[in-house]
Amino acid sequence: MIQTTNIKKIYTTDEVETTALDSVNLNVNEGEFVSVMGPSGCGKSTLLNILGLLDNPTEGTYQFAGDEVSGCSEKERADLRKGNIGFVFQSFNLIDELTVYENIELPLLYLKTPSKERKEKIDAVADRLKIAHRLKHFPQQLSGGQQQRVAVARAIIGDPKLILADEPTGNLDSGNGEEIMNLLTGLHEQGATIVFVTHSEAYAEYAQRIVHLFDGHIVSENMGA
Amino acid sequence: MLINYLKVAVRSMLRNKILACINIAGLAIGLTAGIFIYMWIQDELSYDRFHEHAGDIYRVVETQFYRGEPFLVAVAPGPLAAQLKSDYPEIVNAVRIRLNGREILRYGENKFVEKRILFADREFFEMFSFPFVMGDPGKALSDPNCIVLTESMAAKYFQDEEPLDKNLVVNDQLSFRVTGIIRDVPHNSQLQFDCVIPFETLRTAYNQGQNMDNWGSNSYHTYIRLQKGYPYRSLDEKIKNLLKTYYPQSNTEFNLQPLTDIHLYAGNKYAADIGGHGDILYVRLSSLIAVIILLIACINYMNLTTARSGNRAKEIGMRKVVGARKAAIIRQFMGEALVYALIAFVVSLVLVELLLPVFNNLSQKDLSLSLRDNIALYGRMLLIALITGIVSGSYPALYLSAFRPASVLKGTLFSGKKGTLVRKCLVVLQFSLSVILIIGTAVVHYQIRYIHNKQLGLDKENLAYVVLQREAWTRYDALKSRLLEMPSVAAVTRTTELPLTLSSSHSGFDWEGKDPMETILFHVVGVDTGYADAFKMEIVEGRFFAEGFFGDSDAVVVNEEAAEIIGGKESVIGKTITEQGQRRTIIGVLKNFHFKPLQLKIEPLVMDQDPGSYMVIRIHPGDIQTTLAALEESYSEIVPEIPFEYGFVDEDYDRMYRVIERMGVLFNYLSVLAIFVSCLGLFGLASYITEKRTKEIGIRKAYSASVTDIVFLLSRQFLKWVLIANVIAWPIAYIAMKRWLQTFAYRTDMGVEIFVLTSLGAFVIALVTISWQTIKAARGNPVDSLRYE
Repeated sequence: MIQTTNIKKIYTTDEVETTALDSVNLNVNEGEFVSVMGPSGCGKSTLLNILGLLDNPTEGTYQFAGDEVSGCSEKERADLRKGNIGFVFQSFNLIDELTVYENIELPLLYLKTPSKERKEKIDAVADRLKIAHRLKHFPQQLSGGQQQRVAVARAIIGDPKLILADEPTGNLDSGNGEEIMNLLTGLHEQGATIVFVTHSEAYAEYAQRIVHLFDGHIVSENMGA
Repeated sequence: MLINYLKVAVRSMLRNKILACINIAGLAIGLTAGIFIYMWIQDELSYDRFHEHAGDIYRVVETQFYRGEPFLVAVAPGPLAAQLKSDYPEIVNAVRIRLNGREILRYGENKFVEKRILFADREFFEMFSFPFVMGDPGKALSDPNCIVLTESMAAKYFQDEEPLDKNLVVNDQLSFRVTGIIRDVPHNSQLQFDCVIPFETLRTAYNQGQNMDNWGSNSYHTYIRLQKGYPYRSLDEKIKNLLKTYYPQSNTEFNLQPLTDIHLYAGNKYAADIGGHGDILYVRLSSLIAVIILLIACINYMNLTTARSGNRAKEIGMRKVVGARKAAIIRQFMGEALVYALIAFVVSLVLVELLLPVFNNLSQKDLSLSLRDNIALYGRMLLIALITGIVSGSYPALYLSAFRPASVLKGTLFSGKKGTLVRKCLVVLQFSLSVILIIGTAVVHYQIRYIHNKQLGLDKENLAYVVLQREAWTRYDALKSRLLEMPSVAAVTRTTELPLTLSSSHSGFDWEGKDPMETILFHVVGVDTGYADAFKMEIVEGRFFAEGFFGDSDAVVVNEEAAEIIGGKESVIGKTITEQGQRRTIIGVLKNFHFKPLQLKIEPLVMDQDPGSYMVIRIHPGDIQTTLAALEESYSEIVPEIPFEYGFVDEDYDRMYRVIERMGVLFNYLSVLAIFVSCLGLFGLASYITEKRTKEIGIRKAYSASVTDIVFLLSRQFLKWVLIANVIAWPIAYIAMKRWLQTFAYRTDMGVEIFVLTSLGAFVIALVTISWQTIKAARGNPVDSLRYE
């Protein structure tokens, strides 16, 4: 599913050049559940952005589902993301002006799914994530845990091949955090490929494999629980 | 998807009500100004285009040459029309007209002075499209004693009676049979008249036969209609030197002037023109100002939308994450700008409707917004709104769609350095444009004030005039002595033409030492002995005409300009000039006075004694209305048969500058609007920038900076922009206004104070605008602002 070879990412500002990633080689197979750990600033999010096609690497190659994507234009990347990758963020990133229903609906709109089919899908996923009674509410009216469940619903509504989660539990208390991790585990059991970034040793253990990043390098890979 | 865009747009408007209001207000004000100016320009451009053959009608005008200088004249010799038609097959028809004022018309007991009588050749109604309500356009002018009336004039004389074939009596002498009724002449017609009489009447009843057949005399406006689409320039070339054939001593050239150009391009460049012209300069200026104001409004929207984009960054990021292409985001924000523009359009339509009476009063027009007549207008106004929306949305759409989801979603936000620079430039541009408008307005007002205060060489205040017709003219002496008995009357004099609107001129003067090759045009006016005193004109040399001086009947008085032409540096007193063999002695030189608008230079003038038909009365300052009533009473006793007709010299003078004054008032409103819209933008931007600097302010306050320090810190940045805007605006405004002032032969100086005061004003306005934001930010608790980050 994912195969990166010697990926390098350099950020340049006026005077400073920062190497965020250096020679990262990472393979993730279809159906795998991988967690990425490391201290702040080690390059976790940069890696996730590249894997999620939000950003291009400065050097190296990246094969996504068998296709080379490292040199893709923004337009091509947008088209690849659509329907293939679902994202979950630490700060939920729900759109305040849209209701829960409309937030979940968003990916389907860009996929041009017909209205009736959209409704069926949203109702199904809302049931599954226990937010069906909240569909007409706006994000501000929801608790953090509920908001993150909405975000997960949005991430999986388009049946993506890959789910990327960037510290999805970071803004949640332990109860809600655990719930989200159980959700992800459940999705994995149904066949989803998941890469998620976390600070928490405990949550990292949910994955099949843990990748440790330090100063832009992969320092170790070990199997999880 | 569209519904999703709309929902987001409307909900984010509702969430940021103040921002939305500022945006809509800015656009609505811009559009209102734009729509008004558009309506005004459209009306100006519509003059004379309603004629079916408008595109093929031309006026024949003359270029005469005096001392090598071209002198443009709107009238042509009487025989020209017929000659042109017989010589050039491309001319379909040729028509002479003459507008005459002041005939007394009567039907039964209904008697009025008519000032807008048009004498016109028979084919007048074939050339020009003035629709007939009654009668046959082909025959209406074929009978010598017939008359065609407008509906209003017919109603005035005949009320409910059937007007056709009734007889109107002119000056109690001639009888004219009504042969046609036409619709009232539309306001956008250069020719304005209430009735039409056959041209030949001038020969039969007005003794103009000799004049009409004379190639050397120019008295009639001549129009020709060419075959459809015929290139008029080739005919123009052919007739250029035609006059030489019939009048060999003349070097005057004929030119063709398209009918549709007359209103806007003739200006007051042509002598003996029909008045009431517009000016293409003002049409162009207004278009420019409309574009500027709309641009300012668009910039406002751009600035506020991009400055506040932090609110939308997450949304844009998320849309991109789930697969939205850049183009989709561009479409979304363009659409949002269009929604704003359309809301603003509706608001502006309401504003236009409400303010239309005010605008009509200001522009002296009769514009209407009724949907029935103006579907096309609504279409074009909508188009203006849509273009405004597209321009407004362009930069925000490009800016916002370039957000990188990876960074905006992380909460680190975009660095936005480039965006800030663009925004600063836009604010500077906005303020530059506003400052240019304000300086422009100030210069226009300086010039208007200059016109009002200009020493004209005569005292135009407190001068009434009465038109002396027929019996009144013969009873002048009786009138004069009666009026002089009134305590409020200081002086009474008479003249052939009022001094601020002299139009008679003559080029046949000769004197010893004159270059025989040179033709010089002198204005001529007939006056009486009390003239110079009544107008308070100054004699610089010699004396004015006086009662009882033997030989004054052959004497003339000239102005300084004429004296210089005739005598150079030497005195001209006692010098003889001849006019068609008649010898005249110069007895006095009058100080130059302005008898033309200040756009034109003072020209040479010769005065002789001639009993004119204007009685001018100098009144002691005080109760004008009472004096006027007393004047009318005395007049009616002495001349009961002729209606009393009067005017004031200063009002006539002011009328000459009405177009400029109107533009001045219009500019006032427009600059206020421009600066207001700019301030809306500055306000929005100030709130954004202070918000962005909250952390900095917190840290500074934590290190014990005072409120004043902070306010100063924040204001300095804004004032820097305003300063830059002024520096940009000054030279542009200076060059533009200098060019405008050059259209005046006599003009005010552009004082430095205009620029300094405008800049100070801009600074103060900018300071006040941002003060609310800066003070609020400066007074905040540093703990709050640091926690905020």
